[in-house]
Amino acid sequence: MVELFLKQLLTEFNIAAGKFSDNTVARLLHNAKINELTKSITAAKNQVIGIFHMYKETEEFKDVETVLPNAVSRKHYEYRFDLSRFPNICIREIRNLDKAGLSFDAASAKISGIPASTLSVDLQLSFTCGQGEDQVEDIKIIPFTVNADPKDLWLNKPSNKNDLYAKADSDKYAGPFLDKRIAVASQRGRSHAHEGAFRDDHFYVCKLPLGWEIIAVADGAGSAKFSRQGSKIATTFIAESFHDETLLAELSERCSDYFSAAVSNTPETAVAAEDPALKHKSSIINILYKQVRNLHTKLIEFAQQEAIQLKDLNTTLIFALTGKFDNGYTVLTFGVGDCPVNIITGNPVEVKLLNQLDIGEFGGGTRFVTMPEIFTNDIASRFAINRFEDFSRLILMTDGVYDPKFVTENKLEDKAAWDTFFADLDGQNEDNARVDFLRNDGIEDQLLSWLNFWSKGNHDDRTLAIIY
Amino acid sequence: MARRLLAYFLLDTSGSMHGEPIQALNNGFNGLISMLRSDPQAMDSLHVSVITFDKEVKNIIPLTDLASFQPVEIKCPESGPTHTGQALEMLCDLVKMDLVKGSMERKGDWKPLLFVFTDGKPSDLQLYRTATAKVKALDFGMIVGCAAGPKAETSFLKELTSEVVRLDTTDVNTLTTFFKWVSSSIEMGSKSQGTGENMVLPPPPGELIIVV
Repeated sequence: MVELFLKQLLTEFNIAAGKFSDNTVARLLHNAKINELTKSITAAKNQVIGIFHMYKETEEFKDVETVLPNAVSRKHYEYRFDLSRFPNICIREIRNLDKAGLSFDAASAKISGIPASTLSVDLQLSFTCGQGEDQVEDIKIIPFTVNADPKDLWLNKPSNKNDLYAKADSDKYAGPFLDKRIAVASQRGRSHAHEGAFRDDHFYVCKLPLGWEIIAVADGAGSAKFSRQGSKIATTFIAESFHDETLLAELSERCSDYFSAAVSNTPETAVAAEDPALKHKSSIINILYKQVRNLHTKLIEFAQQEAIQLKDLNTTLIFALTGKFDNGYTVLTFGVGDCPVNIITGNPVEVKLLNQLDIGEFGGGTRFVTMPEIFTNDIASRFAINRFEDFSRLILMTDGVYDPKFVTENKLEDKAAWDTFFADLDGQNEDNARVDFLRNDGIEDQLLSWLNFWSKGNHDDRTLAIIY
Repeated sequence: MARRLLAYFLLDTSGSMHGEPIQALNNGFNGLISMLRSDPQAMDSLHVSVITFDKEVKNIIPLTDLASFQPVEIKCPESGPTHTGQALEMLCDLVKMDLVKGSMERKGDWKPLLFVFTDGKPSDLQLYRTATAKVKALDFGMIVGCAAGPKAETSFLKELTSEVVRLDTTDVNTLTTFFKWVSSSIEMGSKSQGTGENMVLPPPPGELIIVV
């Protein structure tokens, strides 16, 4: 060690090797003083390099990008610093962390706790590097964000009761329906509640003569100024328009004729031009069509009378006109827009979508009963005539319910998706909200509470009608 | 998975932004993120992607949802050209990659939004013009161009969109005002989605000059 030290020293001082210097080195190798000095200089060098490394590690630690995931207020937060690349670094304390309501445990290098409120803050990590008298102290700044729980951001402002066409923020109904029962609830969406806007959905249930009953549901367009009134007129007018004994007598007869003709149809006669079933079908559809047409006229008149535009009333509409007769339940349906009418039959258990949905590529491609262009020959396909020996559920809902619960329209005929849906209604959800179909009292309240379910990105008005 | 609203920001980081302007841009942009964090619709659906352009074009923040967004420091070189065209090219590639189209299993994203902020003019004009056509074909819900500072030229932004605003200066106050307006535009955007109607921008504040 001494020899190497002396040689490096001679080079540093530009002393050339030679006979005299070599002899001198040989002599000094055993000099006690030289040995001692060499040791202390080497020790000093080691100390310097040690300090250098501490500072270097400090610089590297300050520079390394440390990303603390954003916290959410009132949700437990935990983060452990990974110091494996920095063996000499020790985080002593984190300033400003208390502002976020979190604490830091130095021993485990872990942040944890439940942040109280939203916040953006620069955390100051006070850390040391190394031990003893050469220990380095420094500070690293890390930005930290606590987001609000999205649920807390939604305001619930009541709508203005003094506004034109004011409507209650929610509505509900339960009662008998044919020999079954019905429960309906309609809840204003969070996006409307946030702004104190009105619920645009509407429903109407009505008992009719000759054993018929009707349920109508409508979803007023979010973009239309007075769609809350459009949906109200659409549902009430269409339902009340069937309050006509002559009309229903005719309808009952035609339905009876249609079903007998349809039953006796063999595949050969089905394609014949003089198909009696087709003739009856056409009469039934025309009876229904006339009422829808009258509704359209009614909406035009209303718009004129109020000096507003027809499109201000834009609304979708679905209805199920039903009756229980000798051979089962007759279900006549109509739909314009993107709200489904579904039935779950008894035996065999099948799911059926009873109307065609109008759905656009980017959403909002829906159709409204206020649009003159729907009244073409194609409108016939919007009506459906069905008879079921029995059914367990007949369901009408707005897209505020089916978007979050079924996501896409093809799931509306998927048995598994419906099983999940009914399990959800039965309380299998994060709120444990349950609708008890075995008890009649308060079922409409249960349904209304159930409609408050949380679903990210789905905050539209929700209306759900179930006949059971 | 809920429908997402994608917002793309193309930010000019060319040499002329060096100094106070880049500071102001950082303040303004991070302020925008804070503002949006208090909007429940935005917290639900907004995803942000940031592309900076100078001599180099970088996607400094790949598409990130607002809740996970981390503050960012936008840096710029001391000098150098403005490769706006190249930035638009990158944007087209990113949109094609990011945007989820509706399928049988899932609903598609809303129409994306685009904000282009520049304090100069494109140095790669030929590429800019071909890229502009590509961007237009992508069907954005809204494209807003912002020309900031005395040297910014609005005519090129006009080739990209009819919605162009002008800022006289690039100081902190002006940019903060601009980003506040961007924030309300995005909130308006998330609200008008799904109504089937075209998006209408909120009226800009006094500091912003609408370029006709």
